[in-house]
Amino acid sequence: MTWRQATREEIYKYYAKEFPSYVDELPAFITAEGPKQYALAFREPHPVRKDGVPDKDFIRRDTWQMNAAGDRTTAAFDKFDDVLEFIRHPARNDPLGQSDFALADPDLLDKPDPRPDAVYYALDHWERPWVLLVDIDAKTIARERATQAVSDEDATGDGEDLLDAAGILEADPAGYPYSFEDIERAIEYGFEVRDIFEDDFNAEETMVVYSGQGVHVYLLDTDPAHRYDAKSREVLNDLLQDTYEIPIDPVVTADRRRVARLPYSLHADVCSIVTPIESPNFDVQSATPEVLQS
Amino acid sequence: MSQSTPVEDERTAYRVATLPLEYGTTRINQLFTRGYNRYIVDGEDQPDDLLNDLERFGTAAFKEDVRADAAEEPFVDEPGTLAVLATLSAICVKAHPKFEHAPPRKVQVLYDIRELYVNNLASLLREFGDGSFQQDIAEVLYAKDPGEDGPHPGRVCTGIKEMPEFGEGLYLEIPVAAASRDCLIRADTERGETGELLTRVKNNHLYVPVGNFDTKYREYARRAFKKLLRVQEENLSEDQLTWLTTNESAITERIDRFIETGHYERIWRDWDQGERTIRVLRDAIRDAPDEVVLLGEFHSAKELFEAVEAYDPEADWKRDVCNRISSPRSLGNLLASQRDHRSLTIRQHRNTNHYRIQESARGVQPLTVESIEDLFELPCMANMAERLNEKKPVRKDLYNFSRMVMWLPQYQDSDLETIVADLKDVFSRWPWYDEQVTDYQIRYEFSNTIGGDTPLPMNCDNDDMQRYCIGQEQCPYSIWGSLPFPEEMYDQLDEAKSTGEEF
Repeated sequence: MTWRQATREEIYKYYAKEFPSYVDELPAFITAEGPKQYALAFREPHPVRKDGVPDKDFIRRDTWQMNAAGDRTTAAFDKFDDVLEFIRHPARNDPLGQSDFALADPDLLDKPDPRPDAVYYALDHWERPWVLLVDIDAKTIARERATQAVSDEDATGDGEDLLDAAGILEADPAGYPYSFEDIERAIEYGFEVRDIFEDDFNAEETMVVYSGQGVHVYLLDTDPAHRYDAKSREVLNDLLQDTYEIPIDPVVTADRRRVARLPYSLHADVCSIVTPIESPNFDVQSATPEVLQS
Repeated sequence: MSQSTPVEDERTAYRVATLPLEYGTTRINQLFTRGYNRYIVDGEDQPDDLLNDLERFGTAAFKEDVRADAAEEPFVDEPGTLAVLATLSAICVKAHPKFEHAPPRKVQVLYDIRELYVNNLASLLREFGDGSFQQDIAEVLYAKDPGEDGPHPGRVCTGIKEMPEFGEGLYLEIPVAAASRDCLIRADTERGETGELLTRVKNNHLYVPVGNFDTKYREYARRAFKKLLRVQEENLSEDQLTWLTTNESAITERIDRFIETGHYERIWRDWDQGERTIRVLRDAIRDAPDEVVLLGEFHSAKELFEAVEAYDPEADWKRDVCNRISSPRSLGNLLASQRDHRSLTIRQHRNTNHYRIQESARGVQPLTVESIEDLFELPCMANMAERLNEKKPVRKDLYNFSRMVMWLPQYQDSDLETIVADLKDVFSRWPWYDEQVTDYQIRYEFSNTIGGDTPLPMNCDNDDMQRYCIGQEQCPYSIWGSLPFPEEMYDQLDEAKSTGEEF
């Protein structure tokens, strides 16, 4: 098969049929009430209820309401099934309810019921003070590879021309700014980072997640020795890049307020399931949802 | 934190002396009290002893080797005394009329005092502590501001260790959770390049080479000493300050002499760029072998550049100047930008510029001394020569004259016979000249060394010169400033002025 975008129907089918079978396999800290937010991205901007407010292609929803003191008062989702309902029908199950800023009622629209192109959860967590995530993107690897492969005369810039000159745009998956080779390399790097975490940073709980176009490597230990604040994360970034020569996206590591793709959610741009993986030999084709294969 | 005060408790005194930025005025004043207590004997103040010690500290600080030695072996043996002597010396420097309107950051001698303080403190800590002090300091130097989850709960520096797997030397051990980018040390490289990371990782800790600790402490010490000085200044009453500046003379005199002898680089921090360039070129030319380039002669930028390239000075500021000269062209440009300098002449020769650097000392007119006769260009020496036409020399005249000659560069390595012959040649012009007497007198002076060192030449303040002096205000020359005496002469001058035991 080739890499392609999932259709609206395929996305719905995935979350209705296949995704629920993975829910029990989600990491224990990903619950209805744990992450401070869930977020959805849409392919096309969807209107909100209030007039004059721009349409949204990305929405974040708090899992809890807070009082003025910042304490939790009311949960947005009672159980993970509620999160699932929100993913399946965001406009009908928007935790903002009837608020002016909630997604517009699908019954009133010509293009009802937006489907999530991507589902995210916040690394910031109510019960878990720190989650560390390192992002390794196949695009970065491809660009570096192209820069090395292509001499100055052949490339006029560092964008598409460069990738084109290096033959990356033509290689499978065709049209994407990386090839399968780059994704495989990203996965290898991911396991290198996991080993570094375990060997040099004494991490016991780690996770490598295939993200669809690269990997996320998690350091999940909760003891204070791993309470890396933003400054320590900058150190980690520098070490990973300089000492270990891993091509990471340093912005992600340092920023605890980011959202990350929810494991087992669908990366709709490439029809791939975001999958926790155990080995660098992981076959990315196996992350294609069954509902799309049939 | 311990409640004991630096007055009674030595460990606390060390902490306050080392990390004054972490303490308030009260604790710092207690440190000074500890220092002053040393100058109270049987309930009586001993101001002369204090004065004597602070003058010795201040003048010793101006000597590079003393400052360097203090890093190995303490010059003052006690933190309170050290803080008092260093700050009072600095106050004396700041009170010098020359620095009345100068910002302290421009005054080199204040940097020297601070360096002696820091080096001295470092060697004291090494002798006193068991390494735990270094850990305390590292705690402060490498601490980061509290993060999102509050301050790091444990120690920032959990040890100072040998880590053979990372190479020789000691490493500061810092948990990653306590670390910031300040802990990432890179190797020195050419300008603009990022050096290799020297900080290593193991066991969820960073290992920072301890050499970086010294560098960081020096940065800290700059602000730390400023605080000590401010507290001391606020602590002194008007009367005490007047007493101090009225009675102190050694530090002031030493600064005066730097000025008189044109050693401006020892006084000013960012001493005039052009002056520095010319001074370094002059040294490089003097240092060049085989007289390939000479002072007072025209040379191409290439010839001068080769001299600079071969020159390997010890002083940091001189090295900086050399490093800035990267090619004959850059040297040419640099000299062109200084074309108004009185010691520099630029002449176009065919399509190339040629440059002449002359002997000089700042503020006074330089004299080129090719033969002993040239000494008579100094008005005082001309007066002396005139008087010798009428009267035999008093012994001191001959003595002073010989000493001056002994220090001329061209006689530094000459054998005694040559010097005696040349001096006799000069003396033979006077009517009282007796070859045998003069021969004996000269040889006597030359054998009359002081502890093996050549006796210093006279200077303009010398009492014996006053009968010939036309008045320093009117004279465009100065003996120590105008004559091409070598650096060693000035070094010896420093040593002569500051002998004595440690305190």
